[in-house]
Amino acid sequence: MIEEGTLVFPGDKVATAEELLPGAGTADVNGTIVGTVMGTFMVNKKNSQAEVTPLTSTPVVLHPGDTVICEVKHVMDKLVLVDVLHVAGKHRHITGDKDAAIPVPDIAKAYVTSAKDKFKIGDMVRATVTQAGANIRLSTAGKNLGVIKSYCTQCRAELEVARDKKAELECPRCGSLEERHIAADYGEGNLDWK
Amino acid sequence: MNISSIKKDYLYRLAKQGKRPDGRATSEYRPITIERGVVNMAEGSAMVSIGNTTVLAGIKMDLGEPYPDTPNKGALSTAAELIPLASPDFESGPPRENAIELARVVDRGIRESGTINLEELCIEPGEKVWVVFIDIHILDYDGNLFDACSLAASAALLDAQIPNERFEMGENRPLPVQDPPISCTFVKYNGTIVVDPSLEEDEVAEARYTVAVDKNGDIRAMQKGLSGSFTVDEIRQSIATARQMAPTIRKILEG
Amino acid sequence: MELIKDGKRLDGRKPDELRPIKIEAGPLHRADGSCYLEWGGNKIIAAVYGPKEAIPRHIQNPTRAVINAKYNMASFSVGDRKRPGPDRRSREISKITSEALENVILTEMFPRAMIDVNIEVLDADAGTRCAGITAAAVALADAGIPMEDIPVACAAGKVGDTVVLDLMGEEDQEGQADVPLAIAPRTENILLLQMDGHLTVEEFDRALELAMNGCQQIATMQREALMKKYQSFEED
Repeated sequence: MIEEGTLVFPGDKVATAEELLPGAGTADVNGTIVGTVMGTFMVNKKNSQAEVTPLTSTPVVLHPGDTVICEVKHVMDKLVLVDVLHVAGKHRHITGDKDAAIPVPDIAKAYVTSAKDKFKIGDMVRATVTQAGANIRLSTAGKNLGVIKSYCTQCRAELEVARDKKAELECPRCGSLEERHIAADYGEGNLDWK
Repeated sequence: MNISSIKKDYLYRLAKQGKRPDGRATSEYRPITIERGVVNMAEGSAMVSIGNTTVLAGIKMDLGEPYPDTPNKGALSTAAELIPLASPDFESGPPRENAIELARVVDRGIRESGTINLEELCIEPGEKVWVVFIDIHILDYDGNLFDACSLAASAALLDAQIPNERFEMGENRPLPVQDPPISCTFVKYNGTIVVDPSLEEDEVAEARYTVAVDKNGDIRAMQKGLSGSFTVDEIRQSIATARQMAPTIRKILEG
Repeated sequence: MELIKDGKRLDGRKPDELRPIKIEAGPLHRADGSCYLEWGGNKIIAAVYGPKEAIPRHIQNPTRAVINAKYNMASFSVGDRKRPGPDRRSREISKITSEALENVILTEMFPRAMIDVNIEVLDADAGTRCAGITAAAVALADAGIPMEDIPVACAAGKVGDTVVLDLMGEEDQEGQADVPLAIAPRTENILLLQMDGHLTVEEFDRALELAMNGCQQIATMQREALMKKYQSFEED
């Protein structure tokens, strides 16, 4: 095993498979643990794993706790299905599955009877990832989370925050009033807020 | 499908406060750098950066027949390649209409300003002339390709030698080039007009306007693009801005 | 033309000597990873985008990422202007480059994804496919794409009845054989091997030995280039 803190490149031998298991940023190639990214070698003692902490930017994979921007694809009473488009603060494509769901209890801190009252197809939503992997789950319970852009269900114009408190949003074109679970910065176009 | 609608909200909000995403004033150009003679195999070449946008223009020359309507003039051909290296939005394959428009606008500015003395490129009238190929490669796309490509093409022409040696026609000599046009591009979004658009600004632009001015400040080529519109006053104001800016850019070009 | 005189080549190199090489990691802003490479008279730029969702969908592989390398020569990079766009030669090089890179990339980490590797030859002086792979490998490392090794490539060949390393333009045109080689430098496994010309088996062994040796020298330069870009990060 090489010394912890050593700078390694892809292909550099860091340990043997007898010494450590391959962790993040490493791989077991025929019994040799090699670094797979450029970075700093570390030993995760808890799991006896070799790890390389990357110095480079890395492919964007969704992790629990990430703030994401997504588009609403389908709304049911108990579930909102969305397409994740962007991870806040990242400027690379998202790798892997981008289909995610917001279960109704995770829409807001307050009780929500039906998701259909809070989201419509085509809404752009800021959410946090609560579960990654094969079934991505998101939550919009929080002040900065929720719809950041949406369109009038009557005439498709961009909705604005309502001037009086009769509803959350109003349509500047047809005057229709609409309900959504909106984020504090609705309409400001903040992609990388967290 | 995309997040450009969110970016648009952000740029509109800044525009209302008279601000641009990178902090520039509306009539402020990004820093320009020009590196000449970067390609050995080319007759002339130049790598131009405007901010983070980088393009490389190369000149190749060959012998060919003149166009029937200009039997005593050399020929000029300009092509731009939006290669996928420069942006995740560019695709490989034959040039799409964006690349064709770009090349034609660059070509027009150079042609109409008489930058290349095409008469001097005639070898036998009606039979044999030099054909000048300007090929522009986009390497890093951060907005304003029109000005970057125009500048790179001009700088590459100024760097070019007629390859007489390769064709066993005597010694190489400089390509007869003088006073290239200076191109200035503006985009409009949410009622604001900015010069030298960055990528974010290009993405939300509703209308685009390019004007090429010569050494005397006269207009040599224009192109209005995209589905939005300009008022007559906006065009006049943009021309005035371009004329103010052109001498500074010309100095960098003629380095 | 006399290609070897008093044991020296046209540009003064010894038979086992590389041309000067300069590698810069990460010069492009837009790409996820990039590399600029000067190798003798070659100038190459490589950019990596991805992994990202593979489009069109029918090229997706449910178990791993697809590597999509595209080798392209600028029209002005060669003596007579080349028509823009891919020809049969560049398609073949794109294919074998994709395959060589795929060998070391941990593609199974990114099912249904695609990694685009764009290689642009801006100035050509023999050995562009090797230079392209060498630059692409640095761009992949710069993009943080997990790999078992950083591939590296270099050619050897035969000119003036002598087996030599790293053919330059005139040697490539007038020479007797050319052997481009790409390897994974840790294991010295061969990722790409081509040959055209005429070699005895003994000459081939010598060419392979020279090319291996050249690859190992260049592998050090690849690491130095990456180190240079990330030095400031390391100090923090």
